[in-house]
Amino acid sequence: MRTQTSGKTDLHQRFATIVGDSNTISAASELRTYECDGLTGTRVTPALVVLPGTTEEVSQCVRLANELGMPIVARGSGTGLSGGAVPSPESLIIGLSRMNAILEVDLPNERIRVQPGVANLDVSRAIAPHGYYYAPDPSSQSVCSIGGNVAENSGGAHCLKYGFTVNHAMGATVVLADGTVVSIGGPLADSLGYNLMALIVGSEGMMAVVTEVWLRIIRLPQKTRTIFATFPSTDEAGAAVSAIIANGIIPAAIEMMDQLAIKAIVAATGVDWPLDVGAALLADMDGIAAEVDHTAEAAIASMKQAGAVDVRTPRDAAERALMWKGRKSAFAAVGRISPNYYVQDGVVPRKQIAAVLREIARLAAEAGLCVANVFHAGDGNLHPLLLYDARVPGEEERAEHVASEILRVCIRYGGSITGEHGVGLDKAPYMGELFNENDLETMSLVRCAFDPAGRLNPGKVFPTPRLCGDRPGPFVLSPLERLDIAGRG
Amino acid sequence: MFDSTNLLEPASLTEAAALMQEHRSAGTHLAFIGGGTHTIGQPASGDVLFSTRKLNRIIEYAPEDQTVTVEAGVTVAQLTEVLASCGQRLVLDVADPHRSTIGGAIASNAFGPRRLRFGSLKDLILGISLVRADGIEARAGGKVVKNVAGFDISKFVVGSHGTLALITSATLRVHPLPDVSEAIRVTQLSAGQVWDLVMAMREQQLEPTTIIAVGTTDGPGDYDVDVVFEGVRSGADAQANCLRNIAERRGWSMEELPSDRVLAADAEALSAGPLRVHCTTSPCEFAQSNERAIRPLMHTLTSPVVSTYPALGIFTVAGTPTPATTAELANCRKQIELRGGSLIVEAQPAPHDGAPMIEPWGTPPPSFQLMREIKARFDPNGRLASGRFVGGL
Repeated sequence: MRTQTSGKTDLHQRFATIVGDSNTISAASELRTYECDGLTGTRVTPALVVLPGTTEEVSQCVRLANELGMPIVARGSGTGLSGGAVPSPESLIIGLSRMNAILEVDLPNERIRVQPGVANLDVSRAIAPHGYYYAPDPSSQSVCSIGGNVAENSGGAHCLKYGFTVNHAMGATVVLADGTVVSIGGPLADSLGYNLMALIVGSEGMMAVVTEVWLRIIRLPQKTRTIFATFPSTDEAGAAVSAIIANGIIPAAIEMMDQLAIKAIVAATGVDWPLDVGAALLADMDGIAAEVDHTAEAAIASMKQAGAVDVRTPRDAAERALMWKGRKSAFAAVGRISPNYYVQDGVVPRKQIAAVLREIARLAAEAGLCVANVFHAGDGNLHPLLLYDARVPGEEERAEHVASEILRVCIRYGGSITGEHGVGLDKAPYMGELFNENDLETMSLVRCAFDPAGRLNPGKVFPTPRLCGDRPGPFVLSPLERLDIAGRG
Repeated sequence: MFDSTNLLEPASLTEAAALMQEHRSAGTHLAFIGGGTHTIGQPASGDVLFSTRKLNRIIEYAPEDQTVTVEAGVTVAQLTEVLASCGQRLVLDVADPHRSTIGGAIASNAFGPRRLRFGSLKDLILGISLVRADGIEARAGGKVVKNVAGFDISKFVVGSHGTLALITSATLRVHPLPDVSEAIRVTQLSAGQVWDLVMAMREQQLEPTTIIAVGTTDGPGDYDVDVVFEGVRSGADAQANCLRNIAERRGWSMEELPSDRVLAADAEALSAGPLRVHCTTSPCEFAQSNERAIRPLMHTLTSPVVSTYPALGIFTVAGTPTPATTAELANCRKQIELRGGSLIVEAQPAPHDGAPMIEPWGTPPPSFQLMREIKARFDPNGRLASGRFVGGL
C-alpha cells in the first residue's frame, strides 16, 4: 500500500502547505531531536516532523499521511520512558508542542480544558491562584505534556490517594486514524454510551491523536504535612508503609528511597538527608486540617514502631519544597553518580515490596551491578535504577538482562510490568508473559475499531504485529434501529 | 418478553464459559442479568436470560493491598460483610445491596452519593475477566492498584450494559472504613441555595463524602440537603462545625441525623414510583436545570421525588407517571441535552394498550460511530443484549 514519495523536498512541501514551512521539519540534523524519547537507547530518525497549531491542521496532516501511506506517531514533550514516541523510519511525527494553550478554566464545575502540549505543571500553576490544582504529578511534570500524560495514563507520587490521569481526564477532542475529528466523553460526570475515555487514556498513541482534553481539577487541601523518616534498611521502611496503610490511613503520597538513591539525591540537590541510613520514606498527609494532624501523628508512630532511626517534618514550606525536589530529581541525581543507568518500572502487591526488593538486589549483585531504588511505595510501584557504564563491554547487556528479570519477578509476585511508564516499544516483548493470546486479542479488538489499518503508532504495546483484518462479520442492525426507534430521542 | 423457562444460571466460571461457547454455536441471543436492579430497557423477544447470581465466590481478598477479586454474582451486601470483617469497604452505594451484584453494578455503572469523594466503579475497578460473544475468555488489568500494561478494558466495560461481553469476575480497590461518619441535614433550601451551600463548603475546603439534596413538593424551598463527613473524629467534627457555621450565618435550619439514614433516604427517593429518570448535567447549572427541566417533569408525576447529587450535577427523578409525562419527558430531555447533558429513563412502567416504551437513552453521542465499530468487533452478530443500549447498540 505504501506509495513511494517523490523525495523529501516534495514531502516537506506537501505538509508545509498545511502547517507552514517553519513548522515542518525535514533536515536530517533537526530530525535527530525526534529520533527518541526518554528511552534514549533506541533511536530511529523519522521521515518528517510536523508541528500543527490546530485540530484542523492535525486532521489534515493525518489525512495526508494516510494518502502517502505514512505511519503516524503523535508526540508530546518526548519525556516518555518506554519508547512510546519512537518512530519508524517512514513515520510522520505529529509534534503537539505548539498546541499549548489553556482554553477554558471552569472553576464552578471544577474542570479545565487544555490543548495537549500544555505542560502538566502549567495546569496547576494556572489554577493555583484560585485554590485549585491538577492531581497527577509525574516527576517530569515541569516539562511533560498533558497529551503525553493522556497517552501513557501517567501517575506520579500523589496518585496513591488521588488516582492517575484516567481518573482525571473526562473528555477529549481527538483526530481519528482517518482524519475525522470527534469528541470523546465530555466535561460532565458521565457521558452516554461506552466509556471511550478509558480507552483513549493509556492508549499510547495507538487509538487517536488527542488535540483537546477536559481535566478534573481539585480544590487544594486545607493542610498538608510532610514527613521524612529514615530506616536501617528497606525492610523496616517497607514495614512502616504497610503499618500506615493497615492503620486505615491513605497518605497523599509515600515514597521510598534506598541508600544509594539517598546518596545520589544529597550529592545532586544539597538536601541535608543523612547518608548512613539504609532507606528513607517521604510522605505527604493532606486533607482536613484536624484530620491531617491526627493521621500525621499516627503515621509517625507507625514509622517509629517499625524501626525508624529518625523522623522529621519540614520547618517551613521552603524545606518541604526542597524535600520534594530531592525526591523528584532522583533519576537525574542518579545520572550524576553513574555514567548510565537503566530505569525499570514494575508493580507488585504492596505486601510483597520487601521480598521483591531483596530479589532485585540479588539479581543486580549476581550481574555485578549496583541498583538504586526510588519509588512509589504506597502503591507498590517500583523504580529500580540499574547503574552501569556503557563503555565497559557487556555492562549494558547485563543491565538490560537484570531489568528484564525484574519484570519477570514482578509478574511472578502477581504484579504488573508497568505502573506508569507505559509499555511502548520497551516492554512490548513482555506483554505476552503478563497476558495470554486471548487477552491481547481482546485489546486489539478495540484498537482495530479505532484504527483498522494500524496507522497510529504501530509496533507498540503488542509483542507481535497484529493485523485487524475485516470486521468479523457484518454489523447487524438492532431491531430498534431497524424500526428507527432507537437513538432518536 | 423473554423465555424465563430457559434461564441460564451457571454455578462456576468454567460452566459460564462453557455455556457461552455452547450458545455461540447455537447463535442464541443472550441478556445478562445480575440482581436485576439496574436493567434498562426490555430484553428483546427470544433473548435468553443469562444470570450471574450463582457466580458468587469471593476469589481473593488482600486486605493489606486493599484489593478484592470477586465473581460477578457476588452481591454488594455479601462483599460489604466480608470487607467489614477487616475494617474495609467497597465504596459503592446501591439502593438494594442484597440484590445488586458486583457484575451488574459494573455493567450498569451503578453509583451513589459517595462517588463525590471516592469516584465510581470506573475509578475503583482494577481488573476484569470476561467471556466474549465468541466464547473466548479474556482478562485485562490486574490485581495491583497501579497498572498501565495494555489498554484499560476493565474501565471500558463499566457502564456497557451487557452489550460487549459476559463479565465473570473483577478486581476492585477497597478503602478503609472510617472511624466516624457524621451527617447534618440542612432543610428547606431553594435550588439556588443548594448550590450556594455546595460553593460555601468548597470555599472552606471541606471534603464531604456525600451531598444529597432531596426534594418532593413544589415549594420554593423544598430541598433538604444531607451532608456526610467521614474520617477520624477530629476531622469530621471540625467539618460538621464548619457546616453549622455556614448554615447559621445564612439563617438556614438544620437537623442532625444518623448517617445511615442519608443513604436510606436516597434509596427511598429512587424507588418513589415506577418511573425513574437519571439526568447528568453541568453542576453549576443546578438551579437552571432544576427549574427548566426537572420541575416541569415532576409536575406531571404523582408523588414525585427528586434526589440530586448537586456537586456532581446528577438528578434522579422518580414517581408515578400520568398521561402528560411522556411529552414532558421529551421536553426535559431536550432541555438537558441542549446543555450538553443526558437523560436516561432507568425504569418505566409497562406501557398500556400497546403503546411503545419510552426510549431510555436519548440522542447518541458524537462518538457513536466508534461505539458501533467496537460493538461490531466484540459482538459481530449482535447477540448480546441486542439493541438495548444507546442508539440500539
